[in-house]
Amino acid sequence: MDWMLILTLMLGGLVFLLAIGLPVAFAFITVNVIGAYFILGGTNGLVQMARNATSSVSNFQLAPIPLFILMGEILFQSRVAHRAIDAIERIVMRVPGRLAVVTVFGGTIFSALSGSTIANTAMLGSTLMPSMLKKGYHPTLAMGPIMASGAIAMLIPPSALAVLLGSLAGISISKLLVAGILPAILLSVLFVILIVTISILRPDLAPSDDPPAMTLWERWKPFCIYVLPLSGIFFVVIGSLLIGIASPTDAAALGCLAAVLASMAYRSLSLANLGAALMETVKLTVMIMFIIAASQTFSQILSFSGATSGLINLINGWDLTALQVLIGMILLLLFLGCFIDQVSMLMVTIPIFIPLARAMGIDELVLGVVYLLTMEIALLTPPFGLLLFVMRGVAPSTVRMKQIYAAVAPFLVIKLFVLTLVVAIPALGTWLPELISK
Amino acid sequence: MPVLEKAYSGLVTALAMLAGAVLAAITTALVINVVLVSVFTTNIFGMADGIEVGLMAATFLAAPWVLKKNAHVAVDIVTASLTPRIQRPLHVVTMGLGAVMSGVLAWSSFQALLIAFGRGSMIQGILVFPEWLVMIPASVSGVLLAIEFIRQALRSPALDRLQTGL
Repeated sequence: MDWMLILTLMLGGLVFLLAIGLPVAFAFITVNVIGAYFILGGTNGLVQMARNATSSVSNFQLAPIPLFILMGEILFQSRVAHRAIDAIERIVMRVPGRLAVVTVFGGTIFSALSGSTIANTAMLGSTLMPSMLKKGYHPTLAMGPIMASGAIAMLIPPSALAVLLGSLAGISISKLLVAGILPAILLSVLFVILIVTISILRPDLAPSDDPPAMTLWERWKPFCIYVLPLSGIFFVVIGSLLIGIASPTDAAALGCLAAVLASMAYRSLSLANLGAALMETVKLTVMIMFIIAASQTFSQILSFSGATSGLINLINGWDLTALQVLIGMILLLLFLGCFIDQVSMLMVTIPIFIPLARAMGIDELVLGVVYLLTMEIALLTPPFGLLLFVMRGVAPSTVRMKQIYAAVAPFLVIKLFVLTLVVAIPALGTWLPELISK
Repeated sequence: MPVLEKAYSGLVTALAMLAGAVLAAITTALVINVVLVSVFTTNIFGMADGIEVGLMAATFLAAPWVLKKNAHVAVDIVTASLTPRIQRPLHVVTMGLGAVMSGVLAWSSFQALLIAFGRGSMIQGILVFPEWLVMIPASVSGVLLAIEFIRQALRSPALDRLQTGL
């Protein structure tokens, strides 16, 4: 069978099955069952598919995924993270749009403690959204920073998706984890500039709301108690990776230990919330790992049928530059991100993009950061942006979906700008990881 | 029937809790290993192999529970916009397809198990163990997933899918 027909049938079949509401993992299984039967050799192909599914998740490199999720869940369920946000709120003063700025600071800090954008957004939404609305913030200025900074967890370690991407694409996981830090900091700085500018130009959207008068120690005490010690977790995870003394798995395990110790020190850890954190971790981990298991044969069928090499040869024949190909990949990822989840984006595109990037000489680390940024943007693009729905869940019922779209739009522009910057100045993504090599 | 229902729910939940225990054990083992490597320059024998099998087993054993919780990520933008008259039969077809595919997964995993058992093939890592053992979780998972899909086909479509993702 012609490779182009196979590619069309497999991708088209997948899109159709996703559209009728079949869970992603089972949509992959369905396409793979048919593909394995007809292309990999009847029932032998099916047995091979089962073996692939089992071996794909028997992978030590994937171990940081549950650990990073567990680490964030422990801090989330024990409410240590919530107290940290309250403490940050006290020390940010005399800034236009103060609470929105607090949201960005809090979101960035929690991103360094949790690998989950959903937990990050839900926590920011439940702690800061009510106070912002109560103080007269316009819903759009209240919600935009929550969603935008909630999504930063995708870029800053511990990022479970960076581990998955590194493992699937064969990119150094340590380097990929560190590569997202600079773009994430740049995003946070630009978010703050945007918020302050909007608040100065439109004071009606963000009324002045300095916290009540208090002494310097009263202001900083909660920060010293609830935020500074948490920086220990940050240094355990990111510091050990940066210095190069720990593998991502070791760093993740130490991060979990540090999260447990911190929760115990605050007397916030109970068996009940540890159990809840563990079961949430099971839910998220299994959801991701099962998609990996289900989709493993997908790339094998594409490769075996000649679809992967056929597509690469076709694109090579167009005489495109590496930059043009990279831009094409970005546009396709942004389009896919409007409709499918992040893990599926990876599983559908990696079998084609990684060999293509190697053939075109595209820096894999730059491609990795581009993947992380586009997946982060995909969390916020309608109609399937997951964080838009998380926001809908925590926002008052009077808030309409259109307002949520409007709230996130200016922040999306900033994210696209940073994505462009990473393509134009690759050092933004590669400079920090290169320090590890040295 | 309620007894069967209760037994099934109990089994699915117990397997999810077992997966939780496996993940907790993996975390603990890794922490101990870091201490052993940095302080005593030794490590836990066969830990990496054990973790690999643990991750795989946890994934397959808890998958039916995740499906029961409606937490396997799905794209429902098209189905959500349909009228209930179309939604209901489409839901039955989708869940039926899920059940069939889970059945195929169970069957093919069991075939792989039988082949490995027949050949007496072994997984040769630091730990050495029979290959057929690692095919058990996928076989069990496929059967339970098929049952869960059938249960869901008999019910109305879930109004609110859990917001699951990273």
